[in-house]
Amino acid sequence: MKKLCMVLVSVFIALNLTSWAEASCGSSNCTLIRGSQSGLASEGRFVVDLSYRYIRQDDKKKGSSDFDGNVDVAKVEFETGAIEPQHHREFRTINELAQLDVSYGITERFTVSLSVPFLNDRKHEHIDGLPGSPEFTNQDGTNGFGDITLMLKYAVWHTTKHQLIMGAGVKFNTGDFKLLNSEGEINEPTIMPGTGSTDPVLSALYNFSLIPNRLGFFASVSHRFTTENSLDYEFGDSTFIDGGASYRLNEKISLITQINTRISRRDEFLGMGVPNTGVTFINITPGVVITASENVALYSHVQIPIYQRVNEVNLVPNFGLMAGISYGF
Amino acid sequence: MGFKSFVKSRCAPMVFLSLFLLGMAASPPLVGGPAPIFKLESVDGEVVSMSDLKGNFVVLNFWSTWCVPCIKEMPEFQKAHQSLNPKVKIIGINLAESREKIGEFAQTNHLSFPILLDAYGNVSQEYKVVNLPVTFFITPDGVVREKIFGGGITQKMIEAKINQLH
Repeated sequence: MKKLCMVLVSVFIALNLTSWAEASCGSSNCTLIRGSQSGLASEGRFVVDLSYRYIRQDDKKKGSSDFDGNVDVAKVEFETGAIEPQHHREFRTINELAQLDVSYGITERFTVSLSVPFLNDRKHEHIDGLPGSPEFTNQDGTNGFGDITLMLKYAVWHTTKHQLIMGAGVKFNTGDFKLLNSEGEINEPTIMPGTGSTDPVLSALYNFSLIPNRLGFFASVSHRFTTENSLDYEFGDSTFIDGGASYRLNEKISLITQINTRISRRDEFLGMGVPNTGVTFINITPGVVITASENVALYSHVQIPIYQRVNEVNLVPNFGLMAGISYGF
Repeated sequence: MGFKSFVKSRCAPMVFLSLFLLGMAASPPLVGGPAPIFKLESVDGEVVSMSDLKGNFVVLNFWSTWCVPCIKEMPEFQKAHQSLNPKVKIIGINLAESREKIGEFAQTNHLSFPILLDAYGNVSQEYKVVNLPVTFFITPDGVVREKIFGGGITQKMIEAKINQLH
């Protein structure tokens, strides 16, 4: 079974990027804290962000070590309530994800944002039927609408050089989570577009502008408190810890580097721990932002793993790409 | 654990913690209090401090060249600088841009009022500037009497505000 919440690995990046178009000024004023430093939209303004992510997942890990053996993982049998360890052999999953983020600044300090992962396409390759009659298949991927997240963010500390933004929200149960595989059974939970659960999310983001509007640093933490879905499956709680710096080279180009950490606990089914789930990932994520016009910014990031740990064995991403466009009005 | 039981057991403490942080964040207002003191170098290399401006009516404008509404206001500040009596000081404080860039801008736009360089944003921080432009009206007793946020200030508005506060 594949732990495939790389969607969430990128969530924080996406949250940070929702204000890229704030690089431009509103009709009467310009916000000082811009780009990835901002989790807020200016008062009375919308920021619409469309992003695409490509994540290729075919590196093998045993614990935190590279691994040359077979990645045989468990299957959750929802129909019988059992977990079958080493049920099938993973080869590769290619994830293509597209998401729309809309933020609106209710006040200077208070922003509401909505994340809509409208495309979750996962091409999945494995050998099924272990150990008796193994058979390769690439027909068990998934495709569908994901889980919408609504966040409220408030700047409790909002000055020229310092900004502390607290966020609270809910990830709703809007995505598909009972899609069937090629054998007509409910597919692996970890490759479903949605989790099937409604989960609270809390976040905190701190920015420090060493040189306002040019050189800034940020640190953040967010946590998703998972709950059980109607299939009695509960994804492990996930914590995201991020830190980074952004530097504006000139009027058009900004550079960003972040370290993104994600820690997910082991999933549970009917109260039992699910083998091959739960991860710790640390990635370095350099990126560039181009201010295309007064209201439009383009951005691209590459996510490079620097530490990956899985429970038992599993496939992990060897890189991720992200590109997007942000429009403020 | 279902969603409802989660809310009961784990979410409530987090809500209280958030409210506590919100309360901590409250800070006294700038308007009505003494103007934060500063000492900054101007584009011309002259050092200007609040103590130099004591006894004058000061119009302090925070701006930047990348801020379009700021740029639109600049000719109005220049007109006010030329028309008002010498006891009214129009001062521009540029946020974190290079001396060369500001000097070029001032020359191109024929700005003759003092423009100070807040290279690291420390003075802007003291004045709690989070958006540009923002303009403070400081009476001769050193008290911040008014803060105007956003662009659109005109020479007439500046003159009217000074007459009103005098």
